[in-house]
Amino acid sequence: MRLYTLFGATGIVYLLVGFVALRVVWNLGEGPEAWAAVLEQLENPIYIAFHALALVSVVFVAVRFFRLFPKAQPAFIGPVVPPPRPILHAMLYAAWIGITVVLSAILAGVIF
Amino acid sequence: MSDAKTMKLVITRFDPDVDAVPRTQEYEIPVQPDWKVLDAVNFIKDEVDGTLSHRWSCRMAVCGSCGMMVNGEPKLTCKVALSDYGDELLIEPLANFPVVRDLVVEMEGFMDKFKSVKPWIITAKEMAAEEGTNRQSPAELEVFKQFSMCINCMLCYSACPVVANEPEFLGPAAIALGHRYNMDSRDEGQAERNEIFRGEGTVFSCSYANECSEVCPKNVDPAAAVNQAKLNAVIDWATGLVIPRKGP
Ligand code: FES
Repeated sequence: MRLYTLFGATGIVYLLVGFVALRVVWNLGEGPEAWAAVLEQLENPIYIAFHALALVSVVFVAVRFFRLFPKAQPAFIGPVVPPPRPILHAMLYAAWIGITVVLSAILAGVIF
Repeated sequence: MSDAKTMKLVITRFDPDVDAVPRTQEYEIPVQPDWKVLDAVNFIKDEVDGTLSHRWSCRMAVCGSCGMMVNGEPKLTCKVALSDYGDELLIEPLANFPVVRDLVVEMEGFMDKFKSVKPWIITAKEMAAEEGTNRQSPAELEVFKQFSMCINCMLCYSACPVVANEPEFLGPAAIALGHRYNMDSRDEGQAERNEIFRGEGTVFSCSYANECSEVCPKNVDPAAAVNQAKLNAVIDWATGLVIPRKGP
């Protein structure tokens, strides 16, 4: 399988993630018991494996995007000269790591 | 031929006067360790079966005429070593092109695409000879040099999934060539070419699969050119909204 086919196939994973997320939100609206039940279901090894697959898919797409994005920048954009490609790469990874750390801190209740 | 071992080459054959669809023919031939894939095909043509048709010329990855599918991958056959493969090799004509005969594909549509991007320096006013020459600094050359290294081998069209689904797509090499002139400091034809690039079946049809750059034997990186051209075409359009264009 070619890399771009794999890239396209990750769309199926995101679609399924969307369904799971909708179901979780739906259960949240159904009251505390439904919420507790869905949380318990999410501990099922099948769900855990599915979310691990989703994580791998997201990392794959991000790494592919970070690899391809810098070279899509022209040598100059009007009077602006974009930073050299290695710097652009570093900036993308820094932003990714930074956002991941902030989101993790929010979800863990460390901030806000 | 002291080091000769034998190898089986399965080659696509197609004679439009006889065959309704392409077929394959097997050749068991002695090969030398230092042979390129093209050497094996030439051996068949010269020593085994003179009816086999294929294109080649320079044998040094310059003319771009020897592109074929080798085990399903578009390759410049004078550049890839036979020893990189096992005992059997499948050789087919370049994918995504109509086949004329055996390994020879139709190039006319490809050439028309090239012409459509106006691959020449466009200037508002021709410089008189006594005005001297157009000067260009090494830094200005560096901006587009990579995109001018294309040898028109068509491997990128063969690898491109968009060309496979949308044969009218302008395609990687033609867009890279147009972009090469757009980035040339001597050129004044950006607006004309960007107009072409904003048309249907051009830069915005590209899904950035990057396969063209993966197979390019000259490291031209057409995917970079196509996606840079996208951004330039959009900026050119947006600029045109704010600053009216000069008349023709
Ligand atoms: S024969 Fe010229 S590029 Fe291969």
